[in-house]
Amino acid sequence: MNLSYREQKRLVIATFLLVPLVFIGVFFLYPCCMLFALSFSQWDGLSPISYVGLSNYREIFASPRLFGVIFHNMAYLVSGLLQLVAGILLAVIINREFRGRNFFRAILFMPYIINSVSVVYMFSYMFLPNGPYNHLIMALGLSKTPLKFLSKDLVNISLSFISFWQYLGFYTVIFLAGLQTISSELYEAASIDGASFWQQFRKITLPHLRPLVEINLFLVIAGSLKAFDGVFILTKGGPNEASHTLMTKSIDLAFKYNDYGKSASLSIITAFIIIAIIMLQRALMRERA
Amino acid sequence: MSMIRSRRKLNASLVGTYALLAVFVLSPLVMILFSSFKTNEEYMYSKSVFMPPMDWTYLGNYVVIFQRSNLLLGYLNSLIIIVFSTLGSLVMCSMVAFVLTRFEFRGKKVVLALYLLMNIFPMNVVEVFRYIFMTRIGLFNSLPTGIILYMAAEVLSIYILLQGMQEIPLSIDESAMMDGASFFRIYRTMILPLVTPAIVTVIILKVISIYNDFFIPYLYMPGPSVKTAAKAIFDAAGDLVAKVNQLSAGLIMLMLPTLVIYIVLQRWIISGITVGSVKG
Repeated sequence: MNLSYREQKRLVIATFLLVPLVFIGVFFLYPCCMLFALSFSQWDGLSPISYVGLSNYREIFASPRLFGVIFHNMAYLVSGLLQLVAGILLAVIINREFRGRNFFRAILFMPYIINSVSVVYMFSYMFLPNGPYNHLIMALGLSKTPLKFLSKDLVNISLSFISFWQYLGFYTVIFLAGLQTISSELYEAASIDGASFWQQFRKITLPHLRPLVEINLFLVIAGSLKAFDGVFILTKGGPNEASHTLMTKSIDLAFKYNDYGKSASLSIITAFIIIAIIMLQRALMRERA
Repeated sequence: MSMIRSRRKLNASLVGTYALLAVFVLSPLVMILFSSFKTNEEYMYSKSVFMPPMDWTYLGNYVVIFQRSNLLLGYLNSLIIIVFSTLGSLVMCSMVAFVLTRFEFRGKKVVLALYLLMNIFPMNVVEVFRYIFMTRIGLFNSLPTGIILYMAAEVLSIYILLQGMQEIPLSIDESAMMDGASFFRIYRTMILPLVTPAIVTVIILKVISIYNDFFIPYLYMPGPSVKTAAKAIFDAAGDLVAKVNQLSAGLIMLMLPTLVIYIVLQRWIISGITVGSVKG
């Protein structure tokens, strides 16, 4: 077979992309389109689909039990932001030579690779009324009675704490990779000029980390809107709907209440919020560049 | 003199920070490790949850969890799914990355945008509609269901391979073309071997992410004969919340495979995830 490179190039592009693009089309784009179409309809999974215009969207925004669950997602956002702050500080601390540094980094990152089923049930034990955290809290005299970690008032904080534990090392390691690209000469020069640790942090470290802070900030926001694991595995949205997030509510609407239309609208809304944030972030980055 | 002292003080506070963090990260793991070796009586009546088990060789909880959850079958199913979908996804992702880094063509931006969109879209919800579609075409409740779904979407792998291939200068392709090598030959015998580190990273990360996923098995593979390891423990855990010692044994057995992989290969894993996330 003697094809010219021009013909070959066309052939390779077509054959190499064919299967992956078919996969994306069938398993991603097609469900996405159906999702979009269904968000304007009413469907229980059996009877014919009927078009209802924007009524799903109107109902969702009007109902505190539907769009209102976004306030539960806010707990994950707050814990995510704390994670970023802690991640930067930790990265700065780890980014120096000491014995056992790699070992320490490895321990910090470890929760990221553990199965969520294990992680979530592990914390269900830690949170028990007679579990380790309550033992600790009472031994330290922080509370006389055991805290009810999974009660209505605390459940979102407790579940977002699980994500904090799981992803703290992930953000730290990303910041650490950023820090390692900063030349040590910069710090040496600053020390000679008499700059304090805090001044060096503000004038050298933070500006260098800025792109990574932006990327991680986006990951945190998107992650908090997609919060799912703890609720789905452990609380199923309870007690009394207090821990539902956008994602679990949407899944419930479809599989528990057979209300596929509203389920679709809720996830389209979530997706649009995420896409809007990513566009904003890209616009900001381009403006600066 | 004072500098040395202040440095010592700094070191002491650093050691304190590290100790605190290590406790924060490790304590939940240590707690379930302890309870997984405790007998029922020991767990119920021991004075403190922080006490280590009396007998580290007591394996009763592990025996129970293997019987109740059929975890061995779970491991086997997970392994089968992992082998086939990792292989399939590696072939597909490396072809896409090859085309995207080697050629300029119309629609290239569209392909990149598609992968980006897939990255930001909340996949859990697309599952609802994928579910309807998959049951209709009969791809349901079987191992191939999982294999195909895990092959379908992989953004992180593409980024890592793109990154690796971008570092290979195009002059290598050009000199091979002078010798008359076809593009397929360049892909297979030159580019792929040169990105071996990226491929290894992709394999490790893919294995971990498939093993750790529980949502696809939960939704698409509800039957007892096709349960994966995560699904097996997920199913058993609901009934075991009151029997923490048995539950703990299950949680340990579920996390053990990825922990072993992590302990052996942590450098690859950490650097792979860093590259993939920062680029993505």
